[in-house]
Amino acid sequence: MSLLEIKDLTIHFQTEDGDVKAVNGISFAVEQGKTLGLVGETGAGKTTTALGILRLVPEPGKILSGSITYKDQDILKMSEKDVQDLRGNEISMIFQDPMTALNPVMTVGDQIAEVILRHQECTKAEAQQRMLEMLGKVGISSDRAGDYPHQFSGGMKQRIIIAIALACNPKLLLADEPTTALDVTIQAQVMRMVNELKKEFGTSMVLITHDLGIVAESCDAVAIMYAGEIVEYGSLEDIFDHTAHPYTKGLFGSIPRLDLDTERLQPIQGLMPDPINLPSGCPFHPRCPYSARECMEQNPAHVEVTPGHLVKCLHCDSISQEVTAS
Amino acid sequence: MNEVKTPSVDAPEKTETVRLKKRSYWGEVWHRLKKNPVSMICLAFLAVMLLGIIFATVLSPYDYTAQNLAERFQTPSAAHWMGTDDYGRDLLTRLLVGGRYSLLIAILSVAIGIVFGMIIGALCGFFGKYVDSVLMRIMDVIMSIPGMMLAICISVALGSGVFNTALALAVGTIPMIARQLRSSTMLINGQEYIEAARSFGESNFKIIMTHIIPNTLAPIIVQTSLYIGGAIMGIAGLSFLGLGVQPPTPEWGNILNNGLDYIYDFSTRWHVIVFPALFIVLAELAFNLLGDGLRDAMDPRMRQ
Amino acid sequence: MIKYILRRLLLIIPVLLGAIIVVFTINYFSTTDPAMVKLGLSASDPVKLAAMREQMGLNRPYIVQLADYIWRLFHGDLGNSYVYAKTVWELLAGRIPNTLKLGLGAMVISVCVGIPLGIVAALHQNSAIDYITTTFAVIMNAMPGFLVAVILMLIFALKLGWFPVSGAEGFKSFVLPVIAAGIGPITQNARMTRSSILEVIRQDYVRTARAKGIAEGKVITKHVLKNSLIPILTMVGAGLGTCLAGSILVEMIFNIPGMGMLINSSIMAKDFITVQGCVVVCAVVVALANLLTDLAYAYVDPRIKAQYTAGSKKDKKAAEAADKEASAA
Repeated sequence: MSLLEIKDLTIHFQTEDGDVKAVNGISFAVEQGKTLGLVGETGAGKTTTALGILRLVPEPGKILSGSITYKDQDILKMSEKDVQDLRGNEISMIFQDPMTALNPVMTVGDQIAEVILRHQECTKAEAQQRMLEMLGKVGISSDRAGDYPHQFSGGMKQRIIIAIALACNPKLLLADEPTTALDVTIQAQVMRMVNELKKEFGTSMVLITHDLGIVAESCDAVAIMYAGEIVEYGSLEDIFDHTAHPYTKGLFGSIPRLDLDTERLQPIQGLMPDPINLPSGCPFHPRCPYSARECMEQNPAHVEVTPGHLVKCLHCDSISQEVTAS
Repeated sequence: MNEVKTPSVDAPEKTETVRLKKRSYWGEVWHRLKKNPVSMICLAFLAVMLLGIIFATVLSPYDYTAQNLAERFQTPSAAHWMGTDDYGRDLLTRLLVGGRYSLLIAILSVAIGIVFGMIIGALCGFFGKYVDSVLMRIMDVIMSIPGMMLAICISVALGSGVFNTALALAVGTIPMIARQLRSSTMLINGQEYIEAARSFGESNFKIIMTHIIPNTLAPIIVQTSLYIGGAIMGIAGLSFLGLGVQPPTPEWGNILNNGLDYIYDFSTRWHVIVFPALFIVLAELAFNLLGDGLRDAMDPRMRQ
Repeated sequence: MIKYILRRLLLIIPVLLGAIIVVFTINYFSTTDPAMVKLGLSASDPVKLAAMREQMGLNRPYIVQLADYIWRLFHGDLGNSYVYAKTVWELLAGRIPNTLKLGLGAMVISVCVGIPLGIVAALHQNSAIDYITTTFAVIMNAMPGFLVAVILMLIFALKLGWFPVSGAEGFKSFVLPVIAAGIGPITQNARMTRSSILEVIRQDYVRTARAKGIAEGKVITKHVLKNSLIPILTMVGAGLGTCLAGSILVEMIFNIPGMGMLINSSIMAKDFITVQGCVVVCAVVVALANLLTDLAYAYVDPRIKAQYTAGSKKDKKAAEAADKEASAA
């Protein structure tokens, strides 16, 4: 039984210019204690998916269909009150931009203690105690609890956000590009800390990123997103060693590799499609080197190439053979 | 492939900025403005009013100065659509002609404010340091005096008249425009294309004229509408105090002020108050709403 | 904090001095000759006029006259009226309380009514109450205060007779004038509060608060309101200027013997030194109000407070240094 199971989730933003089709019928599952990497370019719908799990999709976004089953309960059918009890407690989120994610007029200590007081039956003093403990865990000295966010650097703010997210021992952590906004030197450090804390608390995680290096280090399973769809989904090994979707292949082609003697990187041609006017058929076909006539006409269904390895491509068989051959 | 654009699912409002590429900047602003019914109504209203004001003496059978004491205080009728005033003059004709003075003063004052504000703002933003601190302290001083008080003071000193009234109102707007321009100049001044222009050895004057002013002008132009609305209100206030354009020259403010002398006879002479007030309020409303619409059209993210 | 207050107090002096210089200079270049005003009908006699100019010190250089004016101002002397045999201060002193009552009353209602109205409108965005508030604000924003005064007077004083038409006796006679002078600032505050809240409500940290599981009501009170009201606060002080200027016009409608009526009668009598005195007094009051808001602002916003509070010198650089330390560990 998976901890979290998402089925056919569709989220659109209804704007004046038309529906922005951010997430289009995606399904995936997160197993107890495991990490799922949600990978894709900016705008693929990763953040919207994470916000959808917490039912925090901003206006004018609407969850149109699907189910999000967490511990046998559909989050989408819960009362607002019950969802609030989950947020920050059972499921919590680390946000992408630490510079703006903290309230500028509240001390960081209060911001951490706030989530503890909300979800745990404890006195203020106990919450204070727990807050200081969390600060210590993320490597910030306790005498800084009374400081305001503007007195911290980006990396330290991200630590504080992590402390908030983990303060109530969540079962599921949604980490939305937790390191993108940080310096490279701080990135590895923060990721290491997240992984250690995750192990310590036995937390499951959805790790949103576009960095395949981080995926290789931290994830057990991977879902590749493109234009609001999951185009390839499988174990870390499936994705890295038995790549079957041309987009995933393209992603790997965009990373410099020292072990292969390639002259040039092969970036994916073109840009992401406008989410208001998605191309007909397979949304990737305008950029796909394997594109054929049928790709323009039909949007392929998922094919299970090996057990647990799903690919959404009409030509996945030939591609996976090609990859294995190389 | 021409449908392919930069995606932005996480922030749906960004898709609109992406679309800018299709039309020119002002074309896009106009396109968005056209979709806003309130702005279009305001624009139509202002156009009709402007035509009426320009052709007032052609359209109206009455002379705006001709007194006819036999027809004093007539309420609206087929002959006098808005009635007559205390000298028996046709009120509508006077209001239309008065609009020439009111709008002229308003536009003139905003023009003076923008020209001086822009020069000062650009100088401050571009040169920084001493020029900036000296000029900005002076602006702070002017801003520390309530706008209406300053206008009263200048009006008193300069005396009445179109230009003097415009100048009196303009002085208060100079610091506002200067401040805005200063910050946008500083923003642009840090951009790399200014560095590039400097590296070609372009003169400061040329950089200000070709790079800074055009790039900071757009937001100012949009605010013109709001400033004109404010100036109309200021003129009315000055007229109410007996400053500004003096009768018998008609001007909305002094026509209203004249009507207010008869406030205790409102039940029979209501039109000498209501119509001038309507002209002032509607004109100002139209300029304000148009300004709001323009601002939204220029920056769709501001729309709420 | 005390250092900050002192610094702000010192900063206000050059601004005030500047304001006085500006007002004096404007009047100095006036097209009206004060000596002629003072002499009245006998001004046609050039000998008398020259003597009067000499007596009033008008022949002295600009800078001497300016210095003299400022010097006297520091001693509470605003000069002598051209028209009446009184000092400007004597004319003004009795008028200040009425204008202040009106201006402060208008400011108080603009805060107590405008800000809650803006909050309600923002929190019920696109509801009926939002539309009504916004429309009302837009219309009122286009109405000169004295026109509002006229309308209020026509309805509530002349037609319904609930309030006196004119005068400054007792609480009742101030009700309509205060509303008239305050309605513009009320709508301004409401509009600004509304847009400020709508701005803050989209911020990432509000999303963070929601993601903590905090109930919506508490998210609003604890996270949204404090952040959105800080910028409003800065406008409150500036609002007093608008309120004072508004009350000057409103006074004339309701016949309240305040500075507005004095300004008006002085304009009519060409007694410009009195007008000048009124403007100077208003500038001082507004400068003090701005000072108070700045101090309040510094008190509620930790980002500003931190710059001036002694002891906590943990600025960004220190934070980054600590960050590096942590990464080394």
